[in-house]
Amino acid sequence: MALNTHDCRALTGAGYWIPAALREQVLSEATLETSWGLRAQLVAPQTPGATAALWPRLRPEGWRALWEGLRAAPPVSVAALEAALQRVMARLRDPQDALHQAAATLLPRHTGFQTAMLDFAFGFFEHLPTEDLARMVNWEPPAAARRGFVPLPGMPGSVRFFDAAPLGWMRGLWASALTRPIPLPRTVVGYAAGNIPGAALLITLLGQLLNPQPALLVRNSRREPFFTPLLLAALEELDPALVANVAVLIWDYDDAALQASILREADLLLLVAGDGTIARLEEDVRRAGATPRIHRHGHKISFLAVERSFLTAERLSMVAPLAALDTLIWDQNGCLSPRLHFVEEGGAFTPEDYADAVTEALRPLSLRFPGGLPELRHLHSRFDKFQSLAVGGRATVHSAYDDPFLVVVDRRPYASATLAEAINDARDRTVIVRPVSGLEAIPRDYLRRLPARNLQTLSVALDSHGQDFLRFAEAVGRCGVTALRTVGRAAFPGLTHSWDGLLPCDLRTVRALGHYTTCEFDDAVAQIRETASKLGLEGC
Amino acid sequence: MLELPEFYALPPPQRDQRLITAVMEQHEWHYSRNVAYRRHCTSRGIGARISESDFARVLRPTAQTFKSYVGELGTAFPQDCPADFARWLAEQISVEVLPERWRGLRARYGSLEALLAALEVLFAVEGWRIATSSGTSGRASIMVRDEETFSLALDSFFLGIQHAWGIDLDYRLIFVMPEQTRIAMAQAARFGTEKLGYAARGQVAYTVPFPASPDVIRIRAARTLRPGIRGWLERQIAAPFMNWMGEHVAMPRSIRGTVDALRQSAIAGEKIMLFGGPIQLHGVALALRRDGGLDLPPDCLVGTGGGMKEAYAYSYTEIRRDIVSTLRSGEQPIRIRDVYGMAEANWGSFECPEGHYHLPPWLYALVLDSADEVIAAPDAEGVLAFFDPFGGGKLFPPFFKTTDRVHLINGGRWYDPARACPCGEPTAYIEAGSIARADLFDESGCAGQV
Repeated sequence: MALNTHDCRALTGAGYWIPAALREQVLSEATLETSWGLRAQLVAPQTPGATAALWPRLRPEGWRALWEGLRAAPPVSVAALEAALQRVMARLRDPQDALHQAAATLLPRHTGFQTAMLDFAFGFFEHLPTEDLARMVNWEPPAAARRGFVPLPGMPGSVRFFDAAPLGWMRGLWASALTRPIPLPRTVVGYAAGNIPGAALLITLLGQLLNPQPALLVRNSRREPFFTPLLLAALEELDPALVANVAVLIWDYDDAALQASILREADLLLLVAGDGTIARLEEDVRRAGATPRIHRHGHKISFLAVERSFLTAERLSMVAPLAALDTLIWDQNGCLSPRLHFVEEGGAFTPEDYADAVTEALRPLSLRFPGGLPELRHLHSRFDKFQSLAVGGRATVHSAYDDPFLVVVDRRPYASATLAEAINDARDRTVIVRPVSGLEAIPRDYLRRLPARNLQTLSVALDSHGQDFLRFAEAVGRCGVTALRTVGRAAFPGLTHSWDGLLPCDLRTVRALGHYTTCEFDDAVAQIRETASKLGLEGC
Repeated sequence: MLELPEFYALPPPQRDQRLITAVMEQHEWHYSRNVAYRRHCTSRGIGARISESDFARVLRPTAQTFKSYVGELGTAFPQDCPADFARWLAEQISVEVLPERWRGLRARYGSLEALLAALEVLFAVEGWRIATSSGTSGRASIMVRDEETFSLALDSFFLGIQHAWGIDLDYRLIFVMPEQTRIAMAQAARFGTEKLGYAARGQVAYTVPFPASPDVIRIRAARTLRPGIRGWLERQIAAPFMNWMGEHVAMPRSIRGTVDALRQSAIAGEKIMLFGGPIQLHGVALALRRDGGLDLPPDCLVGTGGGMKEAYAYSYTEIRRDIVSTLRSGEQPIRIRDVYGMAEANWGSFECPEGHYHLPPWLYALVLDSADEVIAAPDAEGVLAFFDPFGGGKLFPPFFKTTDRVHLINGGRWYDPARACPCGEPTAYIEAGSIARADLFDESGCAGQV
């Protein structure tokens, strides 16, 4: 189970992970299956360029041994986990290290994401504030969070709860507590899907923050099966106890009996998957007669907003590379990837100037982080479409045909269908700049017209000390946005803050139906400066 | 200049070189005359002269080129702004049309059909005929063809039918489609049969009893509706009524009319070609099955075209199987052949006995990779693109990138005799069963769509 360089040479890797102490017993008489992937797609065996993920099909005795073993694991110290994680991440970033080499060999082919981008994004795990996360698990927002943003303890930002019930706001008038503690889940089952590395690892980390840790089983993604097993193996090398309660496996969704037996084991389901998969899993839960709590992290839509105060020579040169970076990461197919860039009119520079600046920033960044998945033909197709709009004066095209990205300013009237079309077009490194007369137009004219359950992040470049900021944050949160994050941080989701409307304390509390919205900053301008400085992107 | 039939006799290397040269000449000709095309080329850094290495860049997407009025005018209803639409149309073609020519247009028209008909009247001298794509999205491609272009299209289609399927002037042609429509393939059928004398000799029948204007097709599909109360009426009243009529009146009448026409031909001993969309033909097959099937004279043929544009309970393969099980020709299973084409193309690609789709020899066809680069190989899978310098006419540059992913054999100038189709036709061909929509891309990442 440890890193196997032979496997790497053969472009075959483990798509599963089982603690060493259980491995022999669990895998006894299991059959080994292979799943082939290439550029985020499952492909036929031996497809040229494809990588193969191995996974075991366990026998019933193996499953029994696995559950027993995971439940018998010793408790883990969060401090030990954080220290170990940092050592593992240092290895992951060291090109000479076998861990880095394994990831660099397997992941780009299988996921379609290039090594440079993966290396950059792995920085997220290096700076993961595990101890802060553990603290947040035990912090419950006060009832005042129903009425307005309240500060988060010991970290930047604030949180607000939006009740989904039609008259839910009335609860804020008398309810004394927002949350109610419940017994900790003893078994957590996660489902990780998609090709963005680390979904299974995030689920694992959330589970490990509970004290005592639950038995934790994660269904691994076949589109990105390698990253989590590699890291868990590396953590185990440091201390087997750190991950003795964790297994990451692939199993067949269509095996109804197996699926039902797993779902019946769960006290809590963490679903990080597409909306279709989540719906299917919910149906499986119903059929299985299981009653776990369910945390859903489906496919999401994010946006970016730029206040006119940032359209100055000094600030635009800082913001444009960060906005470009947010667009590039995961080839703009991530849930945090901004789709429309709302840019306020009336600044020293126009939205068209912003588009030019983003274009100029994207050119060197595209060389530094080449796209793996976007097909130029899709960009060309959108290029032609917006050229056609440009003829009618409804758009301007700022990138060139040969750029591996597209930047446009879209001034069409947005009927609902046009808005949906624009959002769907903003993929594969397509920046659609949407001029707005004021930031208040963003919730009023756009977000309100979209399904609240699909909204996620609004990356912002604004002055959070401005008098209208809280009203703006309140309005976008009410529309369904769950995170306000400063521009340039799309690759680094703040797990300590709201993740799709859920806070870490939701692992151990219940509350009314609704969502948390967090502002992940106290001083947006200062944080943007800090991000720009840390990433060294100024002047891109 | 070579006539289209002469291309069948040209050896592939000689043919391909002529085509390449003609593409370069046509580009130069259109570049100086066609505003929209010149704009397209300029945006890609292409000037008045091109070399073969520029071919991929001059291609325009079929899915957008003649639909660009929607983006440029900001409406899917050009009947609301006839003069603007005429200006758009003028920019799409390679002849000068002065604004005075469309001064006779009204300020607005009640329907798209009325506007297109008015334009045809205004430009009757040039022989304008305006065709549309099937338009099920409600945003139809709108193409104008002049006398020369239209005549070439008819020659191309009927030459192909004759060459590939052996349908000559003796046949009776039964089209399961309306006579009055602008849908390109049906329009070509109607005017082609007129040009070749089928109509005058009473050898042609159209069995869909109602006209299918672009407006009717748009409302029936109910995907693009008028704003406001009118759209509400379209959605709530007109579309359900039209669909009810289609299902309960037009379709049964069409099936009955087709069955009657087939029976008459069987009795008269006429060779026939029955042509229509697979779903419509399936209805005919099921009706015939209830009566025990029908045996037609020898050498009859069923032609399918247009693909499956709506959800249907049967696959294309099942439809073909049902047709063969009910229709016989000379006591043998009847021949069924498909044709592949699109509204923007002045040609059809006809299925051979091996199941492959042969492109006409006067067409320079190739496939593009995911970066829109030409795949220079005799055996290639990618997005189909074509240049039609001899058959496409001179009204607009017939250089297009389609929305279909195909497996193309012997395309471009990469003819390999070893890969020639076993049917013996030495032309480029699309391998059987390989045509698929290319714009459907797989989900990846966790970004949502709305």
